Amino acid sequence: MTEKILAGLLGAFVAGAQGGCALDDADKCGPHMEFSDSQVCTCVENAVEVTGGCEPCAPGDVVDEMNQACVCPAGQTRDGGGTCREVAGLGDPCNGDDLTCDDPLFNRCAVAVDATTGYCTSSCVDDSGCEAAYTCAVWEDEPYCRTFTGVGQACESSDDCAGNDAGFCETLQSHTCQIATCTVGIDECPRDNICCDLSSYGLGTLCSSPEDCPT
Amino acid sequence: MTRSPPLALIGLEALLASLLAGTAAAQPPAPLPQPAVAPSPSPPPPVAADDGLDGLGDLGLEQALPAEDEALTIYGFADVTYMMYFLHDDAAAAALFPKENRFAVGNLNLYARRALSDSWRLLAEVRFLYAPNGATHDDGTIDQTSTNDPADFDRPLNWGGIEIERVYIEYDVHPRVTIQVGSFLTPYGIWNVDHGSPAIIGTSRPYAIGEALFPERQTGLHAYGTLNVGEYTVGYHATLSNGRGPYETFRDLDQNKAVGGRLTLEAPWAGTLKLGASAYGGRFTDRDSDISVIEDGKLVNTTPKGVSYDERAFAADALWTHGRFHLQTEIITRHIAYRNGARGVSGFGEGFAPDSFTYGTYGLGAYRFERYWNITPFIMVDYYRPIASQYLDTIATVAAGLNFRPLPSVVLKAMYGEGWFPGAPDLLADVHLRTMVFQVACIF
Amino acid sequence: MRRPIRIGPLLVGLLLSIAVAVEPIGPRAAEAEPATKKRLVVIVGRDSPVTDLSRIELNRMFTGSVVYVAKLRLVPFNFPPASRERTSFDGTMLGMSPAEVGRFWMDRKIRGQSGAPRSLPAAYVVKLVARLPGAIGYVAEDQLTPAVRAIRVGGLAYTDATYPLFLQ
Repeated sequence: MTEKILAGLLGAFVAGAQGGCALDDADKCGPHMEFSDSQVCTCVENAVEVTGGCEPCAPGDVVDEMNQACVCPAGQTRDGGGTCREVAGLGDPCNGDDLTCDDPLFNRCAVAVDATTGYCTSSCVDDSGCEAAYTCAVWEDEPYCRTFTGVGQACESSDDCAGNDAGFCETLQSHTCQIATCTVGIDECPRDNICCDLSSYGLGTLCSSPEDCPT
Repeated sequence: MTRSPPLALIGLEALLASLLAGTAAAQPPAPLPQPAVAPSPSPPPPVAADDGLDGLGDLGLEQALPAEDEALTIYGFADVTYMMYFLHDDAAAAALFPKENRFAVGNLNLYARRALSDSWRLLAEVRFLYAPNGATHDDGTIDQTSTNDPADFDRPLNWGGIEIERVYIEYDVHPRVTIQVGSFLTPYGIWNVDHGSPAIIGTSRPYAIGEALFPERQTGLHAYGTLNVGEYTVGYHATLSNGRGPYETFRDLDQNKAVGGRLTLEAPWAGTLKLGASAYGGRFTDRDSDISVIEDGKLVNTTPKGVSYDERAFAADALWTHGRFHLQTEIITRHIAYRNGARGVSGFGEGFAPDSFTYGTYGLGAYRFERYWNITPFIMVDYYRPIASQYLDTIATVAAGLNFRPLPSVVLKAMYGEGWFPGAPDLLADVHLRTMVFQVACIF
Repeated sequence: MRRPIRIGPLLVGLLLSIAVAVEPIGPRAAEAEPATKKRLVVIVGRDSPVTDLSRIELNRMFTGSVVYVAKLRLVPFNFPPASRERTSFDGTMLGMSPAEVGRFWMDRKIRGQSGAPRSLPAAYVVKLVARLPGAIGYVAEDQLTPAVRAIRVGGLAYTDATYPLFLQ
């Protein structure tokens, strides 16, 4: 009898000790997460980081990578029911030539440097005057609501980020496209972010959240 | 890359092989041969009891014969260490580890023990620290704790802290059951129980032990006892506690009690062999605050979930002594599973920490000679697999040293160690951390 | 890149070589024995229920374990550490030299375990064992008095030819 009890305990002990060995990548993270090549849990596409995990965005929303928020895509706004709806005129393609911005509110054509077409947008004073997916470019002579393309896109080198506003691939930790063309103090960065001097880490200046910026 | 064993390891292997060959015939001191004895006289006739023992108080005893001396006993241990690091200034490791060779007062621990009666006992152990003075941070800054000494014309004084290692009251419920209540060292393995620098052979504990895959201590209930079966002794431990947490000694943030257990067997096999198996299961929770707010005239609990995971740990250990030869080994595993909505950040600048399985093991061999202050050469190897990351895969160490005991209460040690990171990419790939440590430890 | 000379392992190897050269590894040579020797007798009070204890039970009792006999907790008493009786008893029953005994009890203190059985001056051992229930000790056979009773050790009376405990 004693031998049977001891054998049972030993079996349970060995099974319990080895149970943790069977931990494949699919088992390592929580809901709406995936195990990345960096050996950490990251949010799946269309989910954002919240305290303690990831929350999926509603259908139709997109992820604001810089601020880890679910926002309506460029050109849309959230209606009273929380659903993203097209905003007539906002985001319409334009080129200042034959494609014009005819909406009385979204009458500015924002064209990136070296680009031939842009999008219709509005003037602004601060971020509150822009939809969630837009940032008020207060550093411009005539501020307007603008987007930043490519932020948070996965990359292996900066070649993968070419053509985006986020043209620098940060390969030290996140392996994502980041905005490296900002000026400390002017902060040409998406809303709620600042231009951070990371030259001591060999990264130059990058747009970053204030709490992640070394003092 | 194939790695040749360090010279020390080769030399010690050869020496230990020769020692083993020599000790194959060595036995523990055999009882001396019995000489011829004359037949003993018949017992003397009984006489009146006049034992001349006027007062048991003369001996500090009472009629009730307490099993232990009931006086409050104060004792402790302390150690001083000199550490040398062999690192090139431009080595990556030089940025991660202390560079300077230095003396350091390591431990100053004080015990208070009292047998309150035959069945009740109290033990408390505190450690006096120079910390937090000198605490370093990830950004390289160093804390300095300074105040003015009012007894010395307000001259500056650096102050330290106190750590309560354990404090418990225990009661013998039954000859085979003793219950402790309080803060106690988790009964697992060998090293965690040995605990103090004079009692351990090396200058420091194995890396795997230091990572606390089992919690080093718990606050709650601990029941233990032994059963002797002939020359065999079976022991058990069972624990129920607040589990692991930032305030585990006085709060249980998740109200989820942790349970643990241990079984041991001591057998007279080729000397003495002690085997043990330990297990622990509990929940860790850490949060910044307890918050209640008033909304619409009502008190609403908005306490954040914080970071919380369930953990299971298992360990097995073996200690074999044969005469002056000593061999011990432990293997410890730990599985962590974060609870939904309570996953911690990864610590690598992005993402969250994954569920993980970590394990560690070590082996220690030693032989104590009778000469030269009971010189004891020893060798220790250590292997640890931490939580997987892109920077680190495993940690391996090998150490060899000498332990001298000129007095039972004084221990001198010298230990050379080398650590490296097998399988690590980039930053730590070719890092070898070499140290030479000298230590004096004493029990007072 | 030239590897640094590892002083540590060289030092360890040198010291080990010296130690092995001067320290014989193997059984200790038996000391010369006189023709007759006094026995060391394990004693209890005359009313004690204990009549026989095995060597392992004595070992456990005198190394910190609690031993009960007929629900009576036995409380061991030692001679002072440097006494012949103590070194003889520890050497035979515990298999430890005085230095090893010292280390053993020191390490138990650090672990928070119980200390050594209390030591009594030689003159009081018999008197105390006779007076207090549960007490157990040991004395040379010529110190026996009618107030105490000798017990068997592993089934062997102290008068038996193969009794194991002697005053060294």
